[in-house]
Amino acid sequence: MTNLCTSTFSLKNPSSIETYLSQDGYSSWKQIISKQIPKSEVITIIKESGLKGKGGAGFSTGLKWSFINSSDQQKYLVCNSDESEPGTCKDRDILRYNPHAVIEGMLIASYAIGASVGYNYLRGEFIGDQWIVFNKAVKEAYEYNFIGENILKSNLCIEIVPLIGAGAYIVGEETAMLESIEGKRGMPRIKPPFPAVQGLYGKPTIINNTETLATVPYIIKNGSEWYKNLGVNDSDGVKMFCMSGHLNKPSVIEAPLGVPFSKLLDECDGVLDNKKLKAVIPGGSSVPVVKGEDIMETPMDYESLMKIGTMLGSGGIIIMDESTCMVSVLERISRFYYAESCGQCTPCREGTGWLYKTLVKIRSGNGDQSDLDLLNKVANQIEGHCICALGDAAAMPVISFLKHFWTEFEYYVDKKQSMVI
Amino acid sequence: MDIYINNNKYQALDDETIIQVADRHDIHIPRFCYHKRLSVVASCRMCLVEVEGAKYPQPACSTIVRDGMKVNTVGSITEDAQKSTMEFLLINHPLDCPVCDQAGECELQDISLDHGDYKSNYKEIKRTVIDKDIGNLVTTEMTRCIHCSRCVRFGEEIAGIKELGMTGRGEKTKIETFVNQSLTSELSGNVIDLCPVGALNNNLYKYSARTWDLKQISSISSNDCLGSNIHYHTYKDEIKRTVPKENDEINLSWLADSDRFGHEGIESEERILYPLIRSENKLIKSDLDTLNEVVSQKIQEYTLNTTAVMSAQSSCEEMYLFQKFLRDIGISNIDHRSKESDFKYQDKYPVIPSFDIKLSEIESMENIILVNVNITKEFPILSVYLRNAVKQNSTNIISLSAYEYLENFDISHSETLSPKELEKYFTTNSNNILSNINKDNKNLIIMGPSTTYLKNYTNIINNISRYAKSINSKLSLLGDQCNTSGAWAMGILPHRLPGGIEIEEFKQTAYLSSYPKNDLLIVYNLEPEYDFSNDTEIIDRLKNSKFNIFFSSYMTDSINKYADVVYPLAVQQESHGSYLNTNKQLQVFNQVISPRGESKNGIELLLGLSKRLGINIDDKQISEDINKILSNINIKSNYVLVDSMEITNENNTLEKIIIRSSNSNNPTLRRCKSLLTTHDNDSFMSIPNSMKINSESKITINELENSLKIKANIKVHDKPDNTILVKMNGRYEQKIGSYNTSVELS
Repeated sequence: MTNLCTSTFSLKNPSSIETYLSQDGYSSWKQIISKQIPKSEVITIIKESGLKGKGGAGFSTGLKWSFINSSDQQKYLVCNSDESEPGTCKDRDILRYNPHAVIEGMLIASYAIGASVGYNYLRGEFIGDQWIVFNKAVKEAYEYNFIGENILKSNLCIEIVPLIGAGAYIVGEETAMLESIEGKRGMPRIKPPFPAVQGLYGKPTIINNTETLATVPYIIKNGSEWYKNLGVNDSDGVKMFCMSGHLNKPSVIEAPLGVPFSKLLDECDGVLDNKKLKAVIPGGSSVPVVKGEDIMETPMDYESLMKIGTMLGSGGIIIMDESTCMVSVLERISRFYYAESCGQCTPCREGTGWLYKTLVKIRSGNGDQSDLDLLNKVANQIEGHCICALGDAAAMPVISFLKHFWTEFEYYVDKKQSMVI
Repeated sequence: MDIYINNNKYQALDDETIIQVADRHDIHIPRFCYHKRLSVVASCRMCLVEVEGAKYPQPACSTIVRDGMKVNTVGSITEDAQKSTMEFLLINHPLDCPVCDQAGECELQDISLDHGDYKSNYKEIKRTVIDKDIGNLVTTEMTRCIHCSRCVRFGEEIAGIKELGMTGRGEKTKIETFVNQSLTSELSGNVIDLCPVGALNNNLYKYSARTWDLKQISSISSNDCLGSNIHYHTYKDEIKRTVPKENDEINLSWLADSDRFGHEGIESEERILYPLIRSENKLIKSDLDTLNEVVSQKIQEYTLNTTAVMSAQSSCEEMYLFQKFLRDIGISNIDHRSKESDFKYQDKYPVIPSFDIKLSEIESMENIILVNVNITKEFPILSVYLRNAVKQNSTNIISLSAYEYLENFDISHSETLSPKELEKYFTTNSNNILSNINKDNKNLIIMGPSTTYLKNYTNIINNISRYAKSINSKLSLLGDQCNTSGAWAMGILPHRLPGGIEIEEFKQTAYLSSYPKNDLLIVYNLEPEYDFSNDTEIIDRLKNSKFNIFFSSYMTDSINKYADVVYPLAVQQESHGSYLNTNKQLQVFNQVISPRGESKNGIELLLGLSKRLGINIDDKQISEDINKILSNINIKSNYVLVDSMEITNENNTLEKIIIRSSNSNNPTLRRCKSLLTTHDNDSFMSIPNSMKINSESKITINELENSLKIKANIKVHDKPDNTILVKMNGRYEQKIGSYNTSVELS
């Protein structure tokens, strides 16, 4: 629908530097260097564009950059490509088909915050494809002297270092990622201090999502007003939506923020076999589920989704049709958070297991009404009590599934079988 | 700034956390992962408290105070949060309190009672963990672990060796060693105290008593010259375990393993339980009156040919009395330096050799030079201070030793030097790392006790003192034993009276070298096989003398063979007295358990003997005298500047150097089986590369006429040349040889 990060997706040999250059790639970077645009101006452009972090939290990117400690010390940029949220599959495509946009975005961000090294941390599962493509792209960019020493004869030095994880969801949490880069066990740090003050190796660090950084060159090229106006109504800019689940044509769609959900559904040729839409998880598995009928006309932006009790999150939209057993879905989601808890803080370490074991009990037909209350109780005991957001991520689906589909859960514990079979 | 806790106003400092303010004002906040001497991780979530204005309760251990902040440690929000954390902690914790050693002093138990619910909603299966063997000191029951990670952080931050870590994730997270090996840190036992539950246990204490039956008696460590403060826990007159007593000037909250597990030897089968006297070439049970009778007669007979050697393990009171009664009857050949062999330095030595600065000042030093000392192994508590200096102040530490020691802090430069090289290293004309040290910096030189064993000690300390003076550095002299400072102050020396008063006629006298022959030997709490620089020589003397008097707690072969009378000496834990530590603090210790058998406190034995010899003095008089002596001592510096000295000859005879082991440094420690089975006690012998010996050659070291066969692993080293390094520990297989006799390989 709109092509920024996806602009090279349909071209031949999309990941090569030649393709990217043919699309006017690296022009923003060259412009910054040749015109010696001050750092503060770059930050202002990004701030004014209304660009928000696309990894899930939706925090203003320009504002985040402006928090960086302005002192003379070493600073770092980290690109978060540890895309692990179930239902989310946008960064994997950007890295595979448009890696140079990520590199250019990383260069611009490094320049703006004064970092001399930018790390791109890819999730472990990307080792077979994206890792190879991205490394090749970095090599090409070095050859063209977009990265490295004395970039385009400007005396500027920025290194881009690709890194690969070992397969932990929690490393997607920004401070856990810093720990992992430092070679430690991936466990979130307590905040404050925030990474912008004390991050990687104790130095000021900015961490941005892959999609966010890949969007940056297009904003610099076309201006903040242009980007702002891409959105529908009050929303600023675009977002990649990962449409998965019961769809005729599951796809990754880059669309203006504020686009109605129904329009995204149409892009995917509707619900699989034209069944009735039952439920939608609109932002990756950790955000609250909503009923199909409640979301149909909702504009897909941060504020509107908040109004219907859920979140835009990472844009991983999971579609469930009427044949879906919500008890099984919740059990599967709970298993994920149970397996991925880092084990550091008590409520998450112990609570995720409790939730999962209780759901297994219910699914195996051994649960009763009190177990449903227990799920609610345990989820509420986890929420807001943990170091990082993983605890909340495990609790929110439980609370929302029970809220919207209570009768279905009740049916399950009563009849010892699913309502939809 | 002011903050409000439960609507009461309290003063708080910038950057303080809620828990620090609350602790200072005795406001109770439950916690597991928080420990005042470890970093904050805020992972247990037990200290969640309501902070007005925050959406969720906040961890008190990591939340920094703001001016006017309103905190509630009571009330439903805080209580619900704490109750729910408690419920989570208990779902996988086995409720096996009746068989758990921690019961009664368990933080989980206490906090559960105060902040938990009486019942749990959890009905699923609990997690179990298979334990790994991590050695003879700490046993594990990891199913009980609540993952507070205090033990992990202790290893990383304090001990400097990350031996325990977290593996697995989520509910399967485990605390364990990464590889199957036992803990090697000399501070490993501290994880037992840090563990809030019964997951990490003291192997010696395990299943032997219940905590509520224990009696706590405070005491002072007898294992190194720092004088760590300890609590002994006893039950039915037996020491069950040792725990640290907090002392911010010495051991902080920690204890070295040798202190924690060092009471095991007390109950050794080798304890001497009765007064013994030789009859028909055998030692037989006797009584003190008989012993005193015989001894007083012999002492008076051989007064002029008597040598008395006393251990620096003895208390100041014993020392004072020992030298007093001997000197009163005319015996002046008294010494405590049984491991030394070069005494030329002695009249220039400080009256009390000491560390000279407070331990807390170490942190502010810019350069520290370590001479012949392995701080991490010999003085584990001191290593905490040095490690802190490197971490906080990037202190530059240089190590100059005969062996390349591993330390748990960063060493910027280390050199392995033979004693002769060490002597030369500090002379000003040499061009080495020392010439880079700026005299305007804060510098410190720390000399290890094993330096005093060397044949050229006088030259070494003279050169080091001159160098120290040139860089405005203090000279810290670490004592070999817990009361080495006391022995110097109390005049257990031939040339000085208590308080350092010189005896002109004995200025150049030393206990052995000046007396080629003895008719009577008095050996007080020293074991001829292990405590002398030259064991063959002392045994020779015992063989040839007319009468040998021993004061000893334990029987050894040589005592059994050569003693004519043996006084059954109570061990330190069975006595009371005081030690002068390396910081010149006189620390009093109390009797913890009653003396085993008919053994008696040294003071009682000596008082009895003195009385028999017609010397009247009592307990009270002794302490008064000691206090008077100590208050009159005035020391300017530790520099030992000898006027004329001979440079040690360059010759190529091999020299043998003993690597000091803190785990077998006194008679009781030598009998602690658990300590002797740790990796630190692996014995080895290291020979210079140039000697070209293949690994199968047998090595015999010829000492005087006796040849000594050593069973040990043979290592090879590059430097120092002409030096054989021997690390001999324990006592079950091999002798601890002499420290510096010439050596040949055959």
